[in-house]
Amino acid sequence: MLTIKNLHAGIDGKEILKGFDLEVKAGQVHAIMGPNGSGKSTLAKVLAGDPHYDITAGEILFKGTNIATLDPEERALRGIFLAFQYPVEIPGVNNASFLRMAYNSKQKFLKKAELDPLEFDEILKEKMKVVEMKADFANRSVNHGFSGGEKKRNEIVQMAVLDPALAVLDETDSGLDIDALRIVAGGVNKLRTKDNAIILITHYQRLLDYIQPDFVHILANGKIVRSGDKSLALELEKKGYDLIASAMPAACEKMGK
Amino acid sequence: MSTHVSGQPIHISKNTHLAEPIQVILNSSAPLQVTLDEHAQATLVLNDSTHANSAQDLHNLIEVTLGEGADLDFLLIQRGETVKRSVTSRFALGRSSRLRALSFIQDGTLTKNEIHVDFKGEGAEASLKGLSVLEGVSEAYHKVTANHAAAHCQSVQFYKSIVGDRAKSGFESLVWVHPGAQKSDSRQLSRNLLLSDFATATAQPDLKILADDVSCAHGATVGQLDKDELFYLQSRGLSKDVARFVLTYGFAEEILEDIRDTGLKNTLEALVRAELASLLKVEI
Ligand SMILES: Nc1ncnc2c1ncn2[C@@H]1O[C@H](COP(=O)(O)OP(=O)(O)OP(=O)(O)O)[C@@H](O)[C@H]1O
Ligand SMILES: [Mg+2]
Repeated sequence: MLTIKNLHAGIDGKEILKGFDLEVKAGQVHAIMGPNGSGKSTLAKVLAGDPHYDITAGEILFKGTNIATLDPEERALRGIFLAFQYPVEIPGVNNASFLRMAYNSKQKFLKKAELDPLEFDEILKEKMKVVEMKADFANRSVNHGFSGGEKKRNEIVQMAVLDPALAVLDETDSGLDIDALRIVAGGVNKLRTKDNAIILITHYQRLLDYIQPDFVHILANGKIVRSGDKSLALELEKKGYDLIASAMPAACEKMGK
Repeated sequence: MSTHVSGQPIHISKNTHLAEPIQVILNSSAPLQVTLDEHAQATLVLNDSTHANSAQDLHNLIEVTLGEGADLDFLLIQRGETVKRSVTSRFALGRSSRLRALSFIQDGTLTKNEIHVDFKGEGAEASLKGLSVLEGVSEAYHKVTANHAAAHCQSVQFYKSIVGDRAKSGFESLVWVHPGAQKSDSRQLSRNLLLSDFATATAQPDLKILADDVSCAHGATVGQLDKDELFYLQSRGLSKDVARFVLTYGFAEEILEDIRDTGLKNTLEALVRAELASLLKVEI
């Protein structure tokens, strides 16, 4: 579904991803962990097409097409979804009507019927149940005045509505309380199918107890320095990045240790 | 909605609550007198007629008196393309009365909207809002004066403009707290969204405070659409044009969302949506 080859990308002339490779197949969950500032969010934003970032080399193949130059909305319509680490507040824009516009854009792209507000309300109600979001959030402004955890939950509501082929969840677990984490992770599991894939960016092994990854990758200094199965996350939890890195001279050097 | 003939005074007697808004078409330059007696309540919608009759310049004076505990929703709409027009509204607020005024300006060669509030009795409150949506070479100016002559009164000003093409928007506001008007509470906020490099907006919130125990805040911003917000909407599949429209409408909606009469709110929202669609050249 997704093949990233030798991706170099940066912002304001500063290179952040320095030869990033990843292969994600339908049905898989890949976890990406790594120290603060290692480039995880950069990867997520570059995948979603944030115009602030420049791709200087490499390619991003999604379902066989290089999407590196497509506009963000093109990528979204083709099935890429980013749950933001810091969801944006949009005062004055009603959550339900925004979600309906997003849903209808996709319907239109798929040449399916667009829904009127009443029809969409039924769908939204169901999707909000996936993460047990209270109904009144539908009629508030998008993320405006939401608590940190409520924003994260709202991202997963959007994921449920848009039903993406590839979802990149950037620290969706950060900011969620213990119950919310269980509920939101459970929601993400309900959305998993054999046809879609998830990239989970997280700092905490705890999330991976709920959403079991097929692969865990460690990103350091803009590159994947180690990949493994979910036991790698446990090892990381025990030893921390320093020890893991010191077991790998090459990566260690890159990290400047 | 009942329609009122311009020129004749409007008088709502004591304790009368009107269920329906009164609609006034401002088609003559005769001053309009509006009086709400004690604890009367009404909604007034004033449309200047320039969108129907665009040849003629218009100048109107509206004088409003609110008795003790009276409550008025006041909506003034000035729209249409080619005229010069000005409306001056003067409000005298009695003890514990409530005024919610909203002025909407759309286009026009030169539009002036002046609001003057005199707090005459203690404990009165005025919420003053304005929205200008300007395209082409339109110019529109809001001028607000809040005269806090009595103690314990509150004035909250919240004005926004959306300015495209080569249009110009101006906001000028003075809050004047007189000696003895203790516990006066005033806020002045002007936010302006420029949709083109040639559009301009100016904001001058001013304060003159002659009492010592007051709370006054003011601020003004002039800016463009936020790139992070645009990206967020686009990442959900909205085209750049639609995302711009949604954000711009959201910006306007903050002014419209508290209109209490649902019918009026829907009408004005539809008007603003249509105008913004034309300004941003999107089909909605
Ligand atoms: N505009 C910019 N100019 C220069 N450096 C930037 C800019 N924006 C981000 N960076 C840097 O890019 C690096 C990667 O940031 P990124 O947000 O991708 O990290 P991250 O792995 O997601 O970290 P975290 O775990 O804290 O979320 C950081 O060192 C950051 O300071
Ligand atoms: Mg990050």
